[in-house]
Amino acid sequence: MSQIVRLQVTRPHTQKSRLSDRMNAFAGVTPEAEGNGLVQVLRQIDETILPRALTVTADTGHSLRLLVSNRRLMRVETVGSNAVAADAPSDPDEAAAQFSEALSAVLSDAQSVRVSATRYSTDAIFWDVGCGAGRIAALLGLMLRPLAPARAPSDPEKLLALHARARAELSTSGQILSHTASPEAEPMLEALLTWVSNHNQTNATVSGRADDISCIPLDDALDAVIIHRADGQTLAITPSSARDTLLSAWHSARAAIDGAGKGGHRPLH
Amino acid sequence: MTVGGHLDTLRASLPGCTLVAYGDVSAQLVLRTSTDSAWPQEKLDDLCKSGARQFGLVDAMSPFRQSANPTREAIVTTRRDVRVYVGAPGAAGDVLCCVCRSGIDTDHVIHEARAALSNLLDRDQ
Repeated sequence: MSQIVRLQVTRPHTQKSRLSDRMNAFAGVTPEAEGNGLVQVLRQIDETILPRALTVTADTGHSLRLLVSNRRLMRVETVGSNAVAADAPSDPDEAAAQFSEALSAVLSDAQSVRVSATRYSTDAIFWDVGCGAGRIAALLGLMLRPLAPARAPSDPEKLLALHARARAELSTSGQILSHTASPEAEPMLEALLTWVSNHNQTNATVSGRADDISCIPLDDALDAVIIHRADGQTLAITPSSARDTLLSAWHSARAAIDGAGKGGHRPLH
Repeated sequence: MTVGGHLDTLRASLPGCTLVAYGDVSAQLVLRTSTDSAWPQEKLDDLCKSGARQFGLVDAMSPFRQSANPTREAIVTTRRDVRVYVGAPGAAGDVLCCVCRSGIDTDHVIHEARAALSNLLDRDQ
């Protein structure tokens, strides 16, 4: 799958600046940065959950290849005769500094930017750390706001509510708190409820089961899904096409909660 | 190719895959792994126990699984990773478990693991 996004960026020549100038000049929010190519690329990073290689080509002829996953920039490669590749350092602040400089060097003089997104090739590697677009934007003194007001919800429970053909909420004791189902998905949800009831799969009784998701692929491109939480469970029948988005959203939400608990950074929005 | 060779090949074909384990869920035993870092035995045991529990759910949902692929599949996402289980059809306990980082294409992992499990089972016959 390949997605091509063409971004036209026009800026007065006098607004061109280098990273050091930006860092000195922009102490806070810069509303005029909304039309900036850097912002467009950062927004693209922030909206990318599944692993994607973004090829960014500026009209100056310079090009970058960015590896992005879970709304985090993992690797930057410049393309051309002076090609340089940089993985995210283990320190997120170092990563943000390094990546912001690389992005700024290529995009600060660009009048237009072209971004193409493809899946990772099999020779690509995942890195643990990387850094979010928000951190880079903050370093560059740029404002990062979603362009489209109606984005798909990133909250896994909202995603589930949006996609589920059938859904039931259970308390920690296994009591059914809510239950909705389309006629065709009702028998599948009933089977799921029966199994959970027979196996007493509640967080109160099964040690170590809090906070995970089980997905079982079924026929007709549907999944049976169980989300285990500290305060109960959600059972659902969902389209398989929503599976990876749901799992990634759940992981991101968990990471944000864990990060907040450790005094880490809040997710962008 | 040896069992270890099959597991290494599968892991190499899956970006973000940190461990591939071949085991028997009925015996709850991991027989062989491919990984770049050592996993404690108790974690491998947990992996197998979780697989056995997932396949119990798979079997319960079997009336809704009449697919052409007779293998049994389950995906478990934990805080740390995504675990994709692909088990042999029927009562056989052979299972492959791929432990991957978040953001993987689960359909791709299932497809590759099915092929690898088939090769492993053919090798035993």
